[in-house]
Amino acid sequence: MSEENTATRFHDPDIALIHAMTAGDTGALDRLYARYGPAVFSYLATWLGSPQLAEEILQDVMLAAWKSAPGFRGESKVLTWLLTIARNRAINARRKRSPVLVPLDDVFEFAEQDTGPLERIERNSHQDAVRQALRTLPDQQREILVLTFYHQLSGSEIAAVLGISAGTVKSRLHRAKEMLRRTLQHENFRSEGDL
Amino acid sequence: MHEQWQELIPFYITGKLSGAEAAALSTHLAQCDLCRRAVDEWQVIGQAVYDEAAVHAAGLPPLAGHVRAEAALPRADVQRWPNGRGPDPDMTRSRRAQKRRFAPFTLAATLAAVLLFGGMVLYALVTINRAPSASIVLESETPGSPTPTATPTPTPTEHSTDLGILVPQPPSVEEMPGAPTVQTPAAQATPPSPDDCTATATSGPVDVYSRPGGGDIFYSGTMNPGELWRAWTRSGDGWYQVIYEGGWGWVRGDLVTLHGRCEDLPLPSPTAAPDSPTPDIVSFAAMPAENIDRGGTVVLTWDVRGASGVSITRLSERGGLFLVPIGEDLPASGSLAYTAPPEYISTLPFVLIATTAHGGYAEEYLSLAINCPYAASLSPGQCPISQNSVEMAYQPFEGGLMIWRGDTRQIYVLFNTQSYETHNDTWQAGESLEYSQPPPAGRLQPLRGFGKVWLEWSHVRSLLGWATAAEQGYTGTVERHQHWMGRNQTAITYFTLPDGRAVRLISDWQIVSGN
Repeated sequence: MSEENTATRFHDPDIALIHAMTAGDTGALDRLYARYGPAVFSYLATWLGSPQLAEEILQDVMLAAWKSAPGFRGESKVLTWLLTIARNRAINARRKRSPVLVPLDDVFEFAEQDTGPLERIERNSHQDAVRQALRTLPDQQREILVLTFYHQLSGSEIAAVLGISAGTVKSRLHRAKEMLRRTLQHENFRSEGDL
Repeated sequence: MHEQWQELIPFYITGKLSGAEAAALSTHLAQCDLCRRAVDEWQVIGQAVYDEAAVHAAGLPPLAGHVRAEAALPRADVQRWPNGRGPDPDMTRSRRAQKRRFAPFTLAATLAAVLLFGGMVLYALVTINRAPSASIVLESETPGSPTPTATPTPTPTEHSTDLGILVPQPPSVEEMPGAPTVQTPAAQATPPSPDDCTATATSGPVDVYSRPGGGDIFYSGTMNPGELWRAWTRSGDGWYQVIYEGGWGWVRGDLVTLHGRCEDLPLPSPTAAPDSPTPDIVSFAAMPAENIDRGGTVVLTWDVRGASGVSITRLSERGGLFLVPIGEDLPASGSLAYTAPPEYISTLPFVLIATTAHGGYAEEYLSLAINCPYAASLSPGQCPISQNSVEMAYQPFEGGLMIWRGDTRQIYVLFNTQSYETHNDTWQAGESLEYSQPPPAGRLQPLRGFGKVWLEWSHVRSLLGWATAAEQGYTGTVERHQHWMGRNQTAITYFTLPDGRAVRLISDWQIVSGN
């Protein structure tokens, strides 16, 4: 475990935040939101493909966190706990509202709306190619990549959030990489494709 | 076998492997080109994923008004889960099951006991020694610094109980300007007598928690065998509230032996309002105040009022998700010397967290700038991790170029496609190389280390083609720089070419502006 991960749960300031929320300190809810709101929001928006729906569910998640703070036992990190709540809420919302979901491509186009046509043509670096390929991945594979590299959870934490085994985490990551590789080769995104 | 290593690589990149796993993989990487390439690929993927997700994080909306409004309501219906996992409100099945197993016990009820017996914290009976972290040099409390005053504890005089235990003598209410206004029962203002209910550890140390039901996040101390603690109330599910210096705690009834009149202990009132005063961080400062040298030492000084727990945590250079406690269970005021980790290049941030046993919370941040030990950098505006003058060699090819580093005996093969490879220079003086065909007119065969790599790797040969000029030695500058993937730090290499331009090696190679 890296040094950054040696913090004991008892001395984790996040735990103190939950403790303060338990005691009724609404300021602690604000601090929790400031600390983890971006991470949860990003997860929801990426997974749902709709920033609008993600906004709505994010508020539900924070309210749920407030209500259930007294029962939080610190057996997972606060972020993992919040993501688990977020995922369950998102699944429910998706089930109910799937007909109005914004297509994922539209979302990413929205995110890049400041990019003009000429600039798009010029964007031919590896990073851009990989980012484009990411958008074509199945939701499950994109989700696990986001939990791994954006939220930087461990394998066991990802397994806990997604409710799958550690082995499935590894195989899903492997499949995501292979899918990216195939997409990049197919689209001739990689400079190596010209070799 | 490779699969097992490759499965670890994503978590190797994000720093989530155990030390042993990371060390084993590092060793393997030194001898596995395939795995090193996989590391490069995952780094590209990881950076792209991070950048993509960060787009969404930037659009965070404010916390909604209805959430704030609902949070402001009393927690009258909050359910407690004495032995549960962290709750997921959507896991209704497990929640229902827990409801059957545990009688409802409201937070308000717990806190009612706090309010009712708030004055008791002033009458500490037994001291829990709080040792500073062994990893820091903890100085004595600042001379003349005030003691906490939100629930001030005047210096007590020692008093011998009937059982021969030295305990602080409780002060009078008039001595305590910050004392709660709740009327304190007379019986609580005196040391325990044989008629009071007291508790001792039955066998071995007993954990003390800030709430009944335990849970490691609420651990607040230890009752050692032989210590006599006064028990004030009980939870109804087998936990007893006991008093120690500076606060109260809860112990499991089956781990302690009770003495005296314990059958009359009250259950907590279910109606009292929470009492969670916020600690006051009077000061949190550093000396030097703004800048330190890399790897230098800073003295952090703090003064906090009304807190039962004070800790200082070092944050990562980017954001606060990666937290390393450097001082925990600190006194209310004091100072400590802390040496900056050498991997911190530009900033060294800290947060001081003050808490009360009742859930009060306050935090304060400070950040120091780290002086750059180098006058110039190949990446303008960014201080290098390291900077060295290195004997190097350069040779241009039809399809790219080769660079040799004398310090590490590595050869960088930079293709015109912007991809690159790193090879070890295994050529030995006097070693002859066999070329299968002569170069065409105007082209050259690479020699020595360059030639050996060129001959051994067919893809290098086919992509680079023939050399267009002879190998050229020069003294270059090589720098290592921080590279952030999210909040994780890695290092990337910059070096100069013979013409002074700088090259950056990341997922691909790029010419960047340099000196």
